[in-house]
Amino acid sequence: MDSPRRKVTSQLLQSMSTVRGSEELPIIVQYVPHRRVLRHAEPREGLRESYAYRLAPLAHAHATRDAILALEQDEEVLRIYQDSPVHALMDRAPTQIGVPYAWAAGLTGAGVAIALVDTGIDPTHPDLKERIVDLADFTGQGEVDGNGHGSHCAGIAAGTGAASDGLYRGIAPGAALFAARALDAYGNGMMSDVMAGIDWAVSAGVQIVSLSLGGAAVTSGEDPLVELCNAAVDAGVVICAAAGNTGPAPSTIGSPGVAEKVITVGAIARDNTIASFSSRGPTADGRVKPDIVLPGTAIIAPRAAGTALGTVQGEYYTALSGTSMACPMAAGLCALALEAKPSLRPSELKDALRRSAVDLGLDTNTQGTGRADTQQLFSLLGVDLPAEPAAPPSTTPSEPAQGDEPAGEQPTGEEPPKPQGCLFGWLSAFHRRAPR
Amino acid sequence: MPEIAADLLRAWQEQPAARVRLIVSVDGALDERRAQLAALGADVGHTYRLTNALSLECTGAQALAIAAQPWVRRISPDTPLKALRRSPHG
Repeated sequence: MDSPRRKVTSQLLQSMSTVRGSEELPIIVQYVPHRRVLRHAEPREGLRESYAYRLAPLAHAHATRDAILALEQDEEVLRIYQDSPVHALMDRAPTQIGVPYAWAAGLTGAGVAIALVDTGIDPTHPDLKERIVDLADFTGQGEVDGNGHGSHCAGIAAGTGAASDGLYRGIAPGAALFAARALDAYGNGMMSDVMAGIDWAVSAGVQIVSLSLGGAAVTSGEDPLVELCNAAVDAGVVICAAAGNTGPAPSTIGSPGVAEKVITVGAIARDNTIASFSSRGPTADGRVKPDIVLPGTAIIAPRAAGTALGTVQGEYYTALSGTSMACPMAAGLCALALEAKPSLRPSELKDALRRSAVDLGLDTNTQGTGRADTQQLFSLLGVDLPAEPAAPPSTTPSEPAQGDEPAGEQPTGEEPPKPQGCLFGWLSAFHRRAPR
Repeated sequence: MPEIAADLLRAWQEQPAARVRLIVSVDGALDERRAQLAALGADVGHTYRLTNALSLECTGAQALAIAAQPWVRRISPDTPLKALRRSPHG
């Protein structure tokens, strides 16, 4: 957290402690509003201004530590950020699959519950804490996420973006979250515990289970996890499963991704190219997999407290890649669809997702039917969406809520989605339990 | 005889004292089967209502005894799974 008196963000402050003398850092300087008229900074020792933005009182520069400290004393300077690499942010990935059109219709996944069977969840994270309804531990190590993977996935599915003014909100920020911890702090676990997590979630009444995990698929017949996933779908629960990260070789989809009735999700990059690591079909018995693909490279989403998984982006966020990230994105999209059409059966939703996907022109065992597309999905479901998407985040850096850097696009300052009523009064009944 | 992979059976026969983790699909009431499996010496873990199955840990010899029960439909190995984030090293 920044001191309220500092204009330098916490990330930049940290970086400043690592540079010496004439070493420069890339920065973005935010000036007071009257500098909106294009005006370059006064020449200063140790400061090289490289670009002044036309649309906002901002300038990009390279500066030494001393120059940054001097700049901080300038009354016309409001804030100094560190320039950062741009990732496929959670404000971009939803746009890539058209989710803002559903948001514009007021859809947030309210009334729908998503369970993640993973490494647990950080129940204190601002983006997650108001969405969590119930936690369970099947590892004997407690529900709290000591790895970070589960919290990241949960945020992609249903994070509110509260710690980023909505910038890094998940696909279905109004959905309720159930988190079953079945993987340890290293992201490893046993099939039996994952199965217990799914069984628990189905008993709890969730509509969607997201499985960003996998193991080797058996070469013949079904393994118990595949059988359980198919049974859960038969029981009316949508199961999204990550395809795996062992592509591009063929027949690399793992279990439970090979399960016939689950929605198997591969990963694409920002430019709609398939991620090379995304596992490919067919299954051992010749079925086409994955079913669809969604963004899964360098996704910024919640960082669990005390963890440093991925490329850390300040106190509350981190960037990760994998079909693990694409999977909860699909789960979130399913939540939006189920909010609009609660009577949809899992097989109908899967069929609609597949039929509405945008063909990327790749082999079906690479892309499934293509990239998920919100507008076409809702059109197929007979749900009208507004012609205009919800307003994207502004390109003007507003004051970041937690002193983070303006990596890429910036928050609009709009209110993050508030918790909404959901089935069975889950949110008011939040409690923990250890079923083991 | 329930559905069991040949290599699994062979491993139990060759190493009867070795501990193994299994998932056992059964016919009949889970509570009753749980008690019966425990009576056969298994350390029973989870029960799965969706597929009428249980997880357990036992020795190879005990696994062979479990496999001989008429209400056992299938025995599968409990296998490792992992989170599918991509390793930064590829």
